[in-house]
Amino acid sequence: MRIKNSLVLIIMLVLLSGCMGVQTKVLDEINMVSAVSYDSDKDLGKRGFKATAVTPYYLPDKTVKTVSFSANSNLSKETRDKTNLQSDKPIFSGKLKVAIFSKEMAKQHLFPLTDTFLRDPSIGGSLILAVADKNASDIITTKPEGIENEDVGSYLAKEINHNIKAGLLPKTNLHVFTYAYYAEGADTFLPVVDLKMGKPYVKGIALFNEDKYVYQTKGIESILFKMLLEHTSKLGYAAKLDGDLVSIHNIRSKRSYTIKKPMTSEPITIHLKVIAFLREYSNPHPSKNFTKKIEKQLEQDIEKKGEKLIKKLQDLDIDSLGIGDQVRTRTRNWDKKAWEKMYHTIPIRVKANVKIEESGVIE
Amino acid sequence: MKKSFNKRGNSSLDNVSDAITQLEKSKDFTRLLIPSEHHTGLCVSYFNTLIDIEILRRDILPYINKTSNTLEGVIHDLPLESMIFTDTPSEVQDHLLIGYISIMLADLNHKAVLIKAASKENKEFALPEVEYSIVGPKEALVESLDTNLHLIRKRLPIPELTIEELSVGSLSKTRVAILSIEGITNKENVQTTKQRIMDIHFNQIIDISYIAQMIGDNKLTPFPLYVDTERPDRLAASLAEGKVVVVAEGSPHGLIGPSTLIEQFSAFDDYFLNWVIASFFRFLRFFGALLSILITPLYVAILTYHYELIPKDLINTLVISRSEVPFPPILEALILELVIELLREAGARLPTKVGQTIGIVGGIVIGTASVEAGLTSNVLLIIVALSALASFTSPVFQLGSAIRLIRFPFILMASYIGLIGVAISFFFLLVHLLRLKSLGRPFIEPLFPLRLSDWKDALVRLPFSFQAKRPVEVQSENLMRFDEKMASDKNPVKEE
Repeated sequence: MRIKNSLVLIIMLVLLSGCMGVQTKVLDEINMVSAVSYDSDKDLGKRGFKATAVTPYYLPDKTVKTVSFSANSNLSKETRDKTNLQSDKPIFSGKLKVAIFSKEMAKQHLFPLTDTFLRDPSIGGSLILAVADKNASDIITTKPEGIENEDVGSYLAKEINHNIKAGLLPKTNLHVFTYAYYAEGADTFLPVVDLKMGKPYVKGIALFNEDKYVYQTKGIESILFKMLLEHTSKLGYAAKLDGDLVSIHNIRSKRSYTIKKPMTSEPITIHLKVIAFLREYSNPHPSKNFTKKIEKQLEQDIEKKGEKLIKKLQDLDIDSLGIGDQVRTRTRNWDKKAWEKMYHTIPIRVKANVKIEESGVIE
Repeated sequence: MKKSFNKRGNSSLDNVSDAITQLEKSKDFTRLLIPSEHHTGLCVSYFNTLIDIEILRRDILPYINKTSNTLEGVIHDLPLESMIFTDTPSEVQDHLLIGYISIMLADLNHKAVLIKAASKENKEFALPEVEYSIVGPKEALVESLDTNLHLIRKRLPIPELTIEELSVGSLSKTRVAILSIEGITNKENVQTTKQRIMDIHFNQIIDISYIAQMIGDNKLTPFPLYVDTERPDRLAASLAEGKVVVVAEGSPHGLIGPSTLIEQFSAFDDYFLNWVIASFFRFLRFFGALLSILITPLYVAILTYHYELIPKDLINTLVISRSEVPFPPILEALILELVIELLREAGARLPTKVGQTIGIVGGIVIGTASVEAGLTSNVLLIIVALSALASFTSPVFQLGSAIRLIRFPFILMASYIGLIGVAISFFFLLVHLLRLKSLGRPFIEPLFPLRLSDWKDALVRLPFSFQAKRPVEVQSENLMRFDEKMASDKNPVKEE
């Protein structure tokens, strides 16, 4: 009886699992897309685009060749069917690392394009989204010079992730983007990449109004943006103080909010606690207490530039720093509409506290 | 329950005859009555597994047939130099248990003469080959039941060690001994074992492994339900722990029950090494078993269905190594697994010296050649070799074989529906293990039923000072192994 029961169970298992529709995807018999790009194509109407996908081909001498497929369409998944027509093996997107949109595309609504990434269960939340300064497909089809055993997709993902860890980029990926998009009182941002000497490089941060590109940070703004947005470590900051160039490194910064009376015109203060190493100081004869002086001056510099950046964001009516989100957490009956009305009028102060932990060894 | 074991054992003895009667429960205890014309005769008693029977025949029996009717007379008659004349019951017992012969008058039972006749056959014993350990004793059981009993009794010279003998096999009439310690071993366990062995109806019992298969609680399982060991020290330690031991004539192995899956992973070396090192090694063995079962199925499942799971730096290596292979991962894996099994089987059939050559031929020639010919990928070669290696870490041979067998359904399910298949197979394995019993006791105790007190000697082996209680698994009649307080209060030598 027991044997009969288990036999029935095994037969059921075999027969019913036929209904699961599992598809074999043997590793070396598929093309794994590592990066996609979207460039607008006005011939196909307002939302028409040209999608380009690159897949790595692994050669026996351990080098990687990148092959690209492109198709023009209005719908992201439709382009996959079209690219399949060009490919020798079925194309799968489970190893997608990077998706790059041209600025043209980003100026329209971006979210409908990212929707397909969210729906596809084989694509993870760590997918990197980025905006291309010029042409998006150029970035993923240009193989970085001297990089033989890596494909463009993972190179780009590594580059951006490395700049999140130890560079000017705040944490960004599909998950962060989607969170900011749906959050009340926060706007999204994405890194901007461009090509320079045949290699991709991080140019700045693209700020969005909801999911529409509005502004790109320039120079020091990106660093200030990161410091005002999240806790940072290993950041660098340079400033000109009284004609002397100062550069601090290995910055560990913490930001906190003081919101005395939320949802009123009472000023909101963002505190920045910065601990850093002094690495460069162009004054050859510094006074005895020069670190104290530099600290003071740096504080003023950060406060001035930070407030300027925030003012700029307020003027553009975008809340990329998520200040609204901070207010929301401190308000019992949060009214999104009311906040949006008052956002650009609220005075927002930056209060910096710089501490130079080490000023280097000079004989 | 908690009082010390040894004291309880001897306190009830009033006179020498009681001491003898207590020992008579064991089947290897012999009591000879030598009648005499003039008086009531003499009573000679001894453990036939402990003494050298030649001494008795050559040096004792010929002389005590004379007419002396007192023990003093016997002493006078015997041409031996060292004899103990005593009336202390415990002294008689203790000496009998280490290989003395006692002689007393058949009616006056207060005094006995003890003659040393311990067997000196120690150096004939074989070296353990299956369970060789670098530290610790190097004695193994042999094919003679009496010698094996001697080896065990030598390690447990207590009157409570009882040996029951049965005869099974209608043609072979194999002598089977069931060993237990009175007052420690659960009687139910002893009875179950005895009952099951008595219920065996088979013509020939060649080896103890026949019995292991016949008295098993589940005859369909590939897992060994009893520990099969060739080490007398392990048998003695298991007896002391409260387990039942079965040894049979003609078999150089003994069975230990009830056993648990976790016990099968503990090599006896674990107790010879420092507990930290032993725990690490034991962990390594669990890891090895899991690795051995899962690594090839995972390879097959991931390469066939779940390319997303492969780290991007590994894809390069995997794709290149697979690019020449014409088969799907499942065929590739099955071919290689089969090759390894063939090698193992061939190695087992061949004499030791030739077997080594087979290992080299198999490992180097077939392995590298098949990779170069493009029949298998070199990543899989590493994986299969690793899993075979890991399966050989299991200290009980039968368990290693079981692990190697259950890998195949895993591989097939992995190629059928991927990781879900591996999960389903694992679920089946778990249900099977949950249902297993050894002598009616749960097989995967202390994991289930969860008995935290038994974890002291499960996944890790804690120091001996933590091992005051016997495992709950064996349901011992005396839970305490030693007095915990005495052990912890013990003062090391104080320096002034």
